[in-house]
Amino acid sequence: MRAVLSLALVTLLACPALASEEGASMLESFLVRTLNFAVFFAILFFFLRKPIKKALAGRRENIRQELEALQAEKENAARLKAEAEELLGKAETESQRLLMEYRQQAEIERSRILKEAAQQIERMHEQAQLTIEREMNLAYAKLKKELALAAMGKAEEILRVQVTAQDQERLNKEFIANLPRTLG
Amino acid sequence: MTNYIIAKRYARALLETGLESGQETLYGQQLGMIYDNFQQVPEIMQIFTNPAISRQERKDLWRNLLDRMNPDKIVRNFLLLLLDRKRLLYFDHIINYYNELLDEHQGIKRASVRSVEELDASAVKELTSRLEAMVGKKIILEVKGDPSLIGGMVAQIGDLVLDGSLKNELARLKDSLTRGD
Repeated sequence: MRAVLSLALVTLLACPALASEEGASMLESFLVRTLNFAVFFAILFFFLRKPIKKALAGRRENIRQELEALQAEKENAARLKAEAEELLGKAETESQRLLMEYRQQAEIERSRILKEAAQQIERMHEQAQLTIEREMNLAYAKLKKELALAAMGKAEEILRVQVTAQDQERLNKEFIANLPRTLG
Repeated sequence: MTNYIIAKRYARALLETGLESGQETLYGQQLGMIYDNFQQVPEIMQIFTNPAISRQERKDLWRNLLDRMNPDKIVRNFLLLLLDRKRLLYFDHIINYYNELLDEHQGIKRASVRSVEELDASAVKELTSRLEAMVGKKIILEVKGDPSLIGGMVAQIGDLVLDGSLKNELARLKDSLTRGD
């Protein structure tokens, strides 16, 4: 069938050439050419209708699919954008919350440090007072001891010179007289 | 401490022997005399503890020395036993403890008194009498001079010290002043 149609097509194509060669009239030539065109068109339509239709359908399907894909991507992008915006919103809230929390903690820490510093100062002050008192007491005790030692040394010197034999005898008698009557 | 335990054991054994024979005072006197003689020649003790000298030589030498001093037979045997048992090192502890035991048995207390100047006889007599009344036993008093006391006297009976010296008064006063009383 296709071979017959191809032969007819070739023949038709040759008709205008034959018509011009034989010197036909303009009208005939026009008609022949029109017929030729119609036949040619019909043949072309016959042969190309399905492939073109198929190609166009495929093309349309491709475009539809591309459109659907693009739509899906658009929707996905919109979803992602919404998610991103939501995340950004959450991040903003979280950052605000964290900032607030950090500020509160910093304030608490600052108060604690200040309190501890005040306590430390108080302790150091008390310690310094105690140290001063202790040193003063030690110095006082040392001075007192030195004075006592000096006084006793002097007293011993005086006694060694001034205690007479009579004094010794009196001291001995007093000692003997004051001995306890019994033990215990 | 071990020395005292050993010395007490030997001293008690000799005293019990002496009490049985009624010679306890004599034993104490003879032990004291022999010990005093040794004290005058301290090298003698080194001879008896020197391992370079044989045991027999030491024993012979010890026997010769005792023969010259001629103590009672019991005392002699006791001292030979000390050498045999290597207890001669504790001779001084043994004598001291023997005297303590003997004094205790005889109701005697030994006391010492120190004073700046020597006490006259009447003071010693009065002091002895007061101390005897105080402890309820006969007192054998040893009197010593001690100028460091400044004034007054110090009596000691065993562990009991009665300090009536000016030195002690000054020390107490000094202690009181330094303590802030």
